[in-house]
Amino acid sequence: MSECDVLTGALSEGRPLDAATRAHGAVCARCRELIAADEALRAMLVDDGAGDGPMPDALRAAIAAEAAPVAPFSTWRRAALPLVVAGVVALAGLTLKPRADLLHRPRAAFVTSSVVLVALVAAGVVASLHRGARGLGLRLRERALFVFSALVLAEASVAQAARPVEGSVVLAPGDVVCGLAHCASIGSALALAVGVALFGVARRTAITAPSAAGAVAGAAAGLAGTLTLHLVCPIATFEHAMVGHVVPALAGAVAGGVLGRRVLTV
Amino acid sequence: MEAVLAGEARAFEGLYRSLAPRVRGFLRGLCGDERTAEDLTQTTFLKIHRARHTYQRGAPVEPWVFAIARRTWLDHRRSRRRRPEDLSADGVVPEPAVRAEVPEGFDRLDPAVADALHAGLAALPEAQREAVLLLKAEGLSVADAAQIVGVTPGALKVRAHRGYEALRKAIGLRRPT
Repeated sequence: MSECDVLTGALSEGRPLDAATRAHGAVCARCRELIAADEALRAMLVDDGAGDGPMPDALRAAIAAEAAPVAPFSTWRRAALPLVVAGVVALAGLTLKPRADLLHRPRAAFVTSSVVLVALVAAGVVASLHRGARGLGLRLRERALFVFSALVLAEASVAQAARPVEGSVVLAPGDVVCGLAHCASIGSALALAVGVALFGVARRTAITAPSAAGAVAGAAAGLAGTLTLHLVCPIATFEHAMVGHVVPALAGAVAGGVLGRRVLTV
Repeated sequence: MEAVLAGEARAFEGLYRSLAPRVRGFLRGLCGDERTAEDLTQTTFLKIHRARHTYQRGAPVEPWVFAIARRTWLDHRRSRRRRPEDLSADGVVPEPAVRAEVPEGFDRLDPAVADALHAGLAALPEAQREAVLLLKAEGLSVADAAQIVGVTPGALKVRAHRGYEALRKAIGLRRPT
């Protein structure tokens, strides 16, 4: 890479020029022109504050009306409410109406898949609220990666419960769609309770990418519905489990993405 | 920032005085209109006040403030698309906002260069324009600017580089060979 390229790269990225590059700029006529143009550009863009007065009265009045001290944003403290709601929903389902084949399922596999779903709910709640290293929330790519991998892991978790054992219900081909719609709607309704709690504590937190933050929050709430269905639904038909039990998470991600722009944005 | 979090109006006014010119410059570069930039600056600072609990103690203030300013611009642009003309209370379409022919700062430059830069900046695609503004005018790091925009640092560098090249062409400078 030539000295001219180094200088061009530094100027376009707004980096300060090191001594060697500056020395080159002094002897290269074209680069000298570039530096002069860069200074002109910076002078044009930077507002020198000319004409900058005090804070406008309307803004001052609005600030004064909401001048109460605020508590610092604590991810863990705020995560507690949606996590408790998710836990109550799942435990209530397991206690009141446990799946009929629960005792006959291979214990290790079922416990593992349940733990994975619990971990995904917890990770989603925390990811929705986490401020990130720079205080701007998680990066867009990290949020997208979470939603994608959470849906894949949820599918893998419910797949192992799709094998019939003693006590399982296997649907006739004609009943699959009806059963699927039944579980998808119940799971989505359960997810709604978690979603309301999560969006409630996450309001005005998505400094960047509120849609992606909403998708993560929606997926986390939907996964709470998936977890509850996993614990209570005895239907061991592959299509039913793979679609009907994961629809709440998918629908939650989509709805959360739409809602996030309205609810989470500052 | 601690005093701002505690709700002290005077501390917030200090924050406003120190950052409002830069925020206004950034927004003016995005919208190209002095009056809209002033309105958006006030909206930005109101949002900053309302979202002050989300500021992470110890983190640099500028990226947080400029992320909110950018969000304010995006919300404004979206609402303008939905409702391109604001009606006054009596239902009359108001006169269009007076557009500053040459924004502040231009008067320090050679008029021909200033015009060319102004036209070049306005002609840039928005993604390139905001990359140039964040890096050049606001002096943010590539990493911070990339997170504000929601892209990778590499993608932001490419946008800034292309925007910068286009601006240089606009004022008649060729790339060194």
